[in-house]
Amino acid sequence: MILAIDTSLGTSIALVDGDRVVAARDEHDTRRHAEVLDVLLSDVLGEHRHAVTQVVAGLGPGAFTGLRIGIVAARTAALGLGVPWVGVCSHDAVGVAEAGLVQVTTDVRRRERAWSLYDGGQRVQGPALAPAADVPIVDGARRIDADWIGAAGLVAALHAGAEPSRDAIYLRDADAVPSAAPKRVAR
Amino acid sequence: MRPLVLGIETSCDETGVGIVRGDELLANVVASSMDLHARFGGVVPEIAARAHLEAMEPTIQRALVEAGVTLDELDAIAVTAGPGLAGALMVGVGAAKALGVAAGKPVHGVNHLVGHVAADALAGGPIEQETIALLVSGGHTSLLHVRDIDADVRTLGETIDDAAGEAFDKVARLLGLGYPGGPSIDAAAVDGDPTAIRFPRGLTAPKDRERHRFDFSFSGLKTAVARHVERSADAGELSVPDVAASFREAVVDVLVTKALDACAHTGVPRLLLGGGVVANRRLRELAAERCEAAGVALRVPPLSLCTDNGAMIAGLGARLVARGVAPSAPGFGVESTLDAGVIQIA
Repeated sequence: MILAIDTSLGTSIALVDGDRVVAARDEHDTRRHAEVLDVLLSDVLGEHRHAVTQVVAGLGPGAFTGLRIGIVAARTAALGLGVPWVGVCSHDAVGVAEAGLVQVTTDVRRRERAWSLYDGGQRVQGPALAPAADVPIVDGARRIDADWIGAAGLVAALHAGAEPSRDAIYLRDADAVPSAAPKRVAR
Repeated sequence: MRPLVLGIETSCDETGVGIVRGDELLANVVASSMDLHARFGGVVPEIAARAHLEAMEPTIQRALVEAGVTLDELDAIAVTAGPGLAGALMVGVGAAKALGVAAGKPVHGVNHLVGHVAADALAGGPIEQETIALLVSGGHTSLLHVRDIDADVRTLGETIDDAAGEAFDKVARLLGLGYPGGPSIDAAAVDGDPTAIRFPRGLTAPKDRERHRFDFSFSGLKTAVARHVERSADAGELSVPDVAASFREAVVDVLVTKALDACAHTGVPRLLLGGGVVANRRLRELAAERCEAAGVALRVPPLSLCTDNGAMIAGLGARLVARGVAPSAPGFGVESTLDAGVIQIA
């Protein structure tokens, strides 16, 4: 069984056996990842702790603070269960299941959306950032504004050959400007 | 009972994981992102949080190896729930919760400041005795009255603006010295005269005694240093060593004066130092001198236990477990301004 955790939007945790979702819990609140994590995780794991063979994390894109909680949880859950972990792009949870040319977008706050382009279930472009009101239009693509990333989709993506990685997908640099010379305090 | 506890600390720029058995230290592993903050002259929260994510799981693994224990053997996991940088704290709490659920271990969300006090138990200190604690770092400047470390801790005072370590960083920048400011000001002060310039001692005037007797303020001092530096540089007579030594003396003087006033006020003849600024030699010197004169017993744990670390969090967790305190309720969160009076999040 594969344990999947995604916190790129809300908190989504699922346990998947082959194609079958054994258990899944979602909390849509996008500002309570740290709080709900243990409750959802113990509900999903239940009596199956010893049946888990792998953990998969949604690597984003997503709002940083929440995103990190799911990734660090996947890593330490894997450590606690004694199994390996891997990550996949959170958009893949939606994109790999769609036929034809599909553009998946998600809200990443600050009036921006992240988008990825899929062709026949393969990610061919992105993820990239765009102003929410100005996401590039791709000729012939159907646009899906995803308001939810379900963790079970990460497992489906992995089965469908999504490229595994272990790096969080931030898409933005940490906000910081090296300090200039101090300002004068006296005239 | 000597519980085996793993502690996780991510309140600022140090990813710390420690393992203790009761008050015996088994492992204390720290991965610091300090170098990444140097060119910004201070800790950048997002950079710190990103570094915690990368370092967390490998640091846990290293601590387990160093302690020679397995996750299965643990009695509990303790994690800093506050005070600190929210985004940074959440990485630690997320890690502790997932590890706890996966390994089937209870999780205690504990107070960072009280953890600094608990550090002394790992250094063989008389932790059962009532003490005044002065905790000074880049993020905190607090005076605590610790009647009972597991049950009764009160905040007597804290900084109303900058933390002392932050003041060192900012003044170091003014003087063109490196980051972090503590060590660079210490080095610059070696040949300086601490009495050369009489910088202000914040919140020590008689009018402040009533409301702010045990509080600290360093922003006025920082401005006074800036004015002095500009004036003397314009006149071509700036002495960096004298400014460094006089500034450091002003900070250390007010810290020790207020700490000993707290000892006198409460009638507690013990003072414990904690936090990264304890690395400052002049602070340790002056505290030792004045404590001896005042008949106050001074405790200074080794530096590796004074700077932020996971062992102190594990140590506090082990005390709570031994006392039969229940773990934090599932669903607990981080509190970036958690008061020292809350030893563990219920």
